[in-house]
Amino acid sequence: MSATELREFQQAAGVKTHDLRHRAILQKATKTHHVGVEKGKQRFLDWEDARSQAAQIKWDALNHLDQYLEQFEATVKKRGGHVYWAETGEQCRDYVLALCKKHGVKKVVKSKSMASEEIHLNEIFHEHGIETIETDLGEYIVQLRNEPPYHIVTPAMHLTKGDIGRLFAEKLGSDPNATAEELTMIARGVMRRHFLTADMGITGGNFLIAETGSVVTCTNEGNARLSAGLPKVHVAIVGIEKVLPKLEDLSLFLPLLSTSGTGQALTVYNVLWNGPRQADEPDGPEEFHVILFDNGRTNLLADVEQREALHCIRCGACLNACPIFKNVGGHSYGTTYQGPIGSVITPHLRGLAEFKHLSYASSLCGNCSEVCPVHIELHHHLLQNRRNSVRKGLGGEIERLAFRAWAWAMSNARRYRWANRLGRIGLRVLSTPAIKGSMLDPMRGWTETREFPPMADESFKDWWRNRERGA
Amino acid sequence: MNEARERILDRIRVAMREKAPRREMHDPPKAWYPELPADPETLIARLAQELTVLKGEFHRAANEAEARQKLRELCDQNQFRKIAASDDPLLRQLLEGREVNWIHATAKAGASLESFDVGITRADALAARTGSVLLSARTGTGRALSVLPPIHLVIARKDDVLVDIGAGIQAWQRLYGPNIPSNCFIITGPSRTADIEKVLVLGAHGPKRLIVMVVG
Repeated sequence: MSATELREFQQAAGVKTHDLRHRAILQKATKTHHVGVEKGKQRFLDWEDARSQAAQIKWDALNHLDQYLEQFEATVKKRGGHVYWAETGEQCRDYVLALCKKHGVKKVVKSKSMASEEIHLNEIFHEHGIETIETDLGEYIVQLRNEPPYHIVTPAMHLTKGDIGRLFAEKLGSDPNATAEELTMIARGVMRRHFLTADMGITGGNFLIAETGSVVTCTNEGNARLSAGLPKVHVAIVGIEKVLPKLEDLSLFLPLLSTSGTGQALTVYNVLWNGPRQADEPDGPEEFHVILFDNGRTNLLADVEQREALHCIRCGACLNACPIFKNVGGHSYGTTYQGPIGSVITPHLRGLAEFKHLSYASSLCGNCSEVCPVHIELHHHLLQNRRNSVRKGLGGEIERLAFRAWAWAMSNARRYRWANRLGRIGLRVLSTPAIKGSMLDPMRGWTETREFPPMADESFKDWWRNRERGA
Repeated sequence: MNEARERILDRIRVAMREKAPRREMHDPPKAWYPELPADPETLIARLAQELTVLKGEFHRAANEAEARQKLRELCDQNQFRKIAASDDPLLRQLLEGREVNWIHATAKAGASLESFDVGITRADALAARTGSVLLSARTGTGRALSVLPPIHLVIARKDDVLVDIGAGIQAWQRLYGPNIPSNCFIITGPSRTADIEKVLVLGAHGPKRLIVMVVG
């Protein structure tokens, strides 16, 4: 099991790191993001202080989670909404399908929901003959390409305008050389029809406000407002960790999310979904359902050391900051959540044995922790995943023996000196052109694509000893 | 019926017995944002500035007569034929003489608003710091009126202009108490996307134009 995911990751990463076109696109996108974020941070009085306060609020939420979820549920129900708790993807899917059956749903419009990606909801709908349309432009694009989202915030980040123009030409019959504006207007026209005729709207939730029983969505396009404003039924699928205690917390968290996510002061539409249509409102859904989604989050909650990974507000900043992400890209991870946060949480959601390799695919530079708006110490959690996997005996026998040998050699000065001497001889042999990068080279994985740095004539130890003697 | 509920809550309660390590804050917390002078003219100027940067449009009318005049000009310049508006006393006054589809609590709204040129509403508050409009399905008479037509026009009074969304959220809490509408929105500029190679395009799904007029 672990071998497959690991192998797929290595293969995908191996291909992508050599894809210079892909690298150029990614570098441009992440650079633009970085510039925007730096500018956005200036709007805060003290960004570092704001981050720390956000971390406190999230700590309160995730360390009193039962109280806040119960408060949220009671408030939603009082207003005529429904709350369903789903432990697993199957339960979530079954609930949604039952609703579809009850209401004779033939068409669903979806606003972005990473939680729904976890359970491959679109495929299930497809199997049941329910048409489902992704309304976020980036999600719509990858849906047309039959691909998963590349990035949790910007799903089509890996595509150029030309790629998208050709895609629309193929699938929608439009001009392959259309501008970004023209392509967007084409999508707008396509979506309009769907918004007006859909039977059900499914959204995610960026936040759950315990105090007021609100699901909060943040979009720029307005697709959530239309997905959940017009159809008869609105279903919001939201991870249980998205809780914020009070409505006023939004005045910190909405700008925090938009700043780290896209560099904006606020996304265009920050919307509170509080319930079904009220008696004094001329439109809105007859039914409002919130699915509180677990799917492994309680595993992470139970791990006191790593619980803070649940503070994540899904801004995507750590992805854009990560040198590994910037080389291998989002699809290589093969998981719903990519980048540092994905590497930290996926083992808890889907298994340590299967996904520990992602925690190893890191240089531990710490940039992720640096940019996280809620101060999650992501690189520490990557290390903890590694440690946990070794403790559980998932490291493999060769790795275990290699480290024991290394520890043995390092724990004694004389052994260390001899290891050094042998090492130097070994490196000299390995760096000869006949051996370097060939089948005989045990470091082939490294040396195949890298230059060998020239070795100094003497080791530092010897140089120092000789210098001392000389002096 | 929802047996998973008890199981999930049980797992959470067990986990909650041990609190996670808490980050220390060494100094007293600061305000999140720089202070803004609270006088109306400064706030309105900031609102106008932010809205313009967002490619929204800002108009100021000193009084109702001027507002009526400006509205007439806007309708003519933009050739607003089919107008939908919240059934509100101020809007009734300013749009007097025009043919308007008045949307009130029991009107038919929703998808039927698709064919209109403009949706006109009041606002619960305007937030100067970010150029935002706070609106609800109660004040904005429904969910569709302010998002389905290609242009959203907001008419607000001078004292609707507050410092920021924090103040706006407090205003919501005062205005609605526990009886909040089913849908509340914070609108910051016209609809946009940058999903195609980070090129900014307006009018992705929501209104392509957001026009805000402050009266007073």
